[in-house]
Amino acid sequence: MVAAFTGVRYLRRAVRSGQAAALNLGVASTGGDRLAFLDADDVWAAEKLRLQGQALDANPAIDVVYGHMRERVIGAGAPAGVIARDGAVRCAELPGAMLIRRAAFERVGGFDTRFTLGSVVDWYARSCEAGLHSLTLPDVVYERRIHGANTGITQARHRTDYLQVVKAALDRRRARPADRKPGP
Amino acid sequence: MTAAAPAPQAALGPETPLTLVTALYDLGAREPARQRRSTVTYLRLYEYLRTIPLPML
Repeated sequence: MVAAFTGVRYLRRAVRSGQAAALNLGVASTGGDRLAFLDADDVWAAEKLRLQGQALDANPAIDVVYGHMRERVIGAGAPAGVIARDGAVRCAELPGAMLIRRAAFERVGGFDTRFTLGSVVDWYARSCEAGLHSLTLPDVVYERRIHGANTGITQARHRTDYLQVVKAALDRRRARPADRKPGP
Repeated sequence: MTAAAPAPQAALGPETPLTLVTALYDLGAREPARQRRSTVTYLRLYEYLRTIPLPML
């Protein structure tokens, strides 16, 4: 299937290493000055790259442009206990919703491979702490598909990763002298 | 008509230190249950905690 698309390279890891490692491999294998991400089961809006590219062109001080995502429940849908609403639009600072300058991405660093879930939240937290300037478009830039086989569902036993990510962010704040001052 | 439940912070009192646990409780009360387990929930939790001075955490 990949061969049908000009300019597309298919990279395959010998060992299944998770989402973070896959994203890092993708970044390391590219040479462009802007990066965008798309999971195999999600869909970009046709105008995503054009809109976000224009936003970066028009705002040299902006490092990363996000957009909104639309949840799409497909097939048999989410299993019992996993709640999703077909058509719901949400602001999402997730890789699938962003276009980022490579230099800005490299200031933050890659996705943390220690997390099975939550590496994208960890990355977003580190991007904020790195002082990246962001812009969020009102447009829906991608559809996130909920189908019962999403990583967040099949790897649900790793959900504690999310709290570890948030706790790690708190610990980083506590380690910064400027942040240890009492609040106003 | 059923009276709305008090906001968690109001119920706890303004002098109560906000911990990660109470932040989670607060977040859970603000968002529909369907969102509690999603990745986006934790993006919002991270941003919420950033607004709180460290001495209160």
